[in-house]
Amino acid sequence: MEQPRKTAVASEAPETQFVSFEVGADTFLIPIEKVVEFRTWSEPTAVPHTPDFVRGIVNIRGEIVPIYDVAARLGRGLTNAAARHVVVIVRSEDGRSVGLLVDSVTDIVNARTADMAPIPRIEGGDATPFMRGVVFVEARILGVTDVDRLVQETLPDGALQMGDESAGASAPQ
Amino acid sequence: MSSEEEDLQRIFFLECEELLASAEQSVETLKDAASDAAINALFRAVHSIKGGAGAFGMDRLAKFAHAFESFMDLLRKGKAALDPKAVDLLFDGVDMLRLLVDESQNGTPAPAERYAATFAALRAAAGLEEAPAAEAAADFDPMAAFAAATPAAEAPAAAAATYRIRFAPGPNFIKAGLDPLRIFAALKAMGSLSAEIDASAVPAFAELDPEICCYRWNLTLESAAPFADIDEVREMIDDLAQFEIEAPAAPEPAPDALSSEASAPEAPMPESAATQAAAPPKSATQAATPAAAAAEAKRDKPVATVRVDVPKLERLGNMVGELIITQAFLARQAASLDAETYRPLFRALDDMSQHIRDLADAATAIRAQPLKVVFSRFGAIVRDLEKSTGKRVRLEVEGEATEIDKTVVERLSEPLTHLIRNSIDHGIESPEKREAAGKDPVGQLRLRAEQRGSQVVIELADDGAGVNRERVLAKAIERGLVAPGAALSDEEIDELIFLPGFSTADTVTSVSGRGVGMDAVRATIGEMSGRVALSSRPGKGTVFSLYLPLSLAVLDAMAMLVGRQNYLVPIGDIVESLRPAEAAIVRLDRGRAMLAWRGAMLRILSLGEEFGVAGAIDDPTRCILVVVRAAQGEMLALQVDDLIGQEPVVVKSLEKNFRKVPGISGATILGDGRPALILDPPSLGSASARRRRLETAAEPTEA
Repeated sequence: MEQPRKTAVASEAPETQFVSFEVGADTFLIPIEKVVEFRTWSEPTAVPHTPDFVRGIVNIRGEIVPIYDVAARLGRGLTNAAARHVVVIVRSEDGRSVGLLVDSVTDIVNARTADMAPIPRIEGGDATPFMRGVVFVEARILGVTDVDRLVQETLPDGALQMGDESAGASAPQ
Repeated sequence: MSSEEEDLQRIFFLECEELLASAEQSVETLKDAASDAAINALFRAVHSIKGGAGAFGMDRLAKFAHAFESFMDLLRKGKAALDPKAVDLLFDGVDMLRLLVDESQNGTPAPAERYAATFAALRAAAGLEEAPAAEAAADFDPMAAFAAATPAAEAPAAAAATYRIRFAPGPNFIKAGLDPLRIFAALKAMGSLSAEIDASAVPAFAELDPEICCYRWNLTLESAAPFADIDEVREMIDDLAQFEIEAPAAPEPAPDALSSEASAPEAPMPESAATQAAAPPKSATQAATPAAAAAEAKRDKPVATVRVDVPKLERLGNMVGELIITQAFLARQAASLDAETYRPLFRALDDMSQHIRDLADAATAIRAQPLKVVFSRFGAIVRDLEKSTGKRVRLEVEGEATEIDKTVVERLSEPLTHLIRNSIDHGIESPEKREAAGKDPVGQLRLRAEQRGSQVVIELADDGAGVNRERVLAKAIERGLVAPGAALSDEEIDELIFLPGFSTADTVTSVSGRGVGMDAVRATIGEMSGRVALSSRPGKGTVFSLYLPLSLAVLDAMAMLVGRQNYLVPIGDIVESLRPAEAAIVRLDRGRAMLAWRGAMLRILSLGEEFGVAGAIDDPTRCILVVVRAAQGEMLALQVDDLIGQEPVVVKSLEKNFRKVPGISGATILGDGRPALILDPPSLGSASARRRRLETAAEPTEA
């Protein structure tokens, strides 16, 4: 179900629920309506000729679903994944199911999307392609991920060049 | 519009598709020789479209079909000659019918001028033009005609005849919303009707079901209406009741196919007669001798059919797929058990595996459709191309009864059309050139299909000039696809025409130069897990071969181990697997090696290296080499650590949630629930060939 995004009066805007997850020391949010389910990590089947952040494919109820490493996607290098890691299965706007590998899922939080602040553009470029904005949650400011962009494999990110395995997890520029 | 009506319309359009294919087939037959069976089949197809169009208020379609039908009626009765002009008109008529059906279905308006011209020509040919009823015919209301009208042309000759009808509603007749009274009313509108009730099937009172009509009737209808009109009532009933019409013996001098079918003793079940109208008629070209005609009639005998929604079929297919996966899981679990102790269990597992295989075959067969559905359109396309190019072409079609998955049939139309256009545009020469070369001025195009194991092979062969390799190579160099001076074999040059962005047409013609190239053909076939190969001989012609899996869902594959990864290769692609002797391995630079195999040198493609798999064995002599067919008749030796075994696998799409990966045709789910990749040797091979080509080129364009 798609939630209405445009709301005229901010103070009356309904609150939206988000799933919060951790990557390294940071917490990010995913709009809850994008989330299909959570799974624990198990080593997926590797797919050749894909960027590093595509960790492989898994079988979810008879469907082949790719697993993307969010840490690598956000330019923080590959996750050293183990059984304690969580895969958040999301459904994108174009109807694809993709698993997002994160360190942990922490909470379900409420925030007013109408209060969501855009991220100021730094140095002119689209330096934060995977964030939709930031919201205030209990005195903290958290980034809301743009799931539809996260699952677009062709969008390069800070750390990785797409195309082959040799690019590796170099530091962001 | 109510959803029920929408459903009915949807079914009508589905039927139109079949009817049009059948009509095209009939006209194709009539082009070669007059055939009563083909004329009758065409008449029935047009008639059925008219009926549906009228019922749904598609006026233009109904009007046009009516004119067409009237013309067909004259042909049927021998009152119009089946000369080449008439055949052309039939071709145009069917084309226009298709456009009008499309117009009604999708709202794409049929070209007005062409419509007017064809409509006028049909009306003139049908003798409707000079009749005073011309205007009335233009306002034709098929529902009224349903009851009353007889085609103008036969009105004077028609005399009242006596039809005897046996009418026995089936158990679902009333539940389906039908009412015997409506049947009587429809018949009564055509003449005088008398009924005799048959109460022999009425059960004991306690067993009476108010929703089941237990009466049967013997009806006698005195009517001047032609058989077809009365037969139309049967279409109202569908197969929910027995409706047997005994045609009058007198008025028609020679009983036409319709009446003889219905009254023929070997067709006592009207259900089968009812489905006959929908079943595409078999080609009747060979029906010259009475014996052949009888054989033809025998083959024409339809089996009872059921119309099923595709999603239901897909559900069945998916469940069979899940069953195969579960079975693989059980087999893997059982493998660790002691064979002696668990003998009965193993026997049961074997039985189950066989049953599941049979079940998968049956599920595949349900989805199968004859290729005729697409093949029948190509006659008209070739004729059009003959006109527009000035070339002369004879199309021969073989094996059109070969069946393949319905989805494949639907998607084949475009690539095959493109190949045919390509063959006529680039392959077959002009009549003058052909004569100068000592060939028959009429070019030959042979379209052939056959099943080979779990594959269907479709070949399109022309006897034209063959691939102009000089020009192809020049174009490829000009487009930067090949490094200048690269030494390519003839086969490699032929292969270039499949590259994206390649087009050999010096001038863009309306025929081939529409922006869809051979790369699109290859891509479409590839999406169906099939492959395209080409072989060409200068001056002799070109053969395109399409290899397609029988079923899109289940595949026989060999599971192979590389490092800790499993990969699968379709059995159809494997020629041989071997453990090579040291002497058969030729080591080259950069760690590459080749295999000496049956007198040829094959490239060894190490999957471990190609896919970057950790822990794969390097040394080819410690590996298994799997010789596979790559593109272009080329063989390739895939180097894997070990073979695991052959098993039927369920093909899952990678594209649904991810994308297409070069060298991979899809994935499957192994017995342990994990996915494994299914390799596509032709694209593995050509990706590797492209790399080799680019190594000779100065600037690689791809990482």
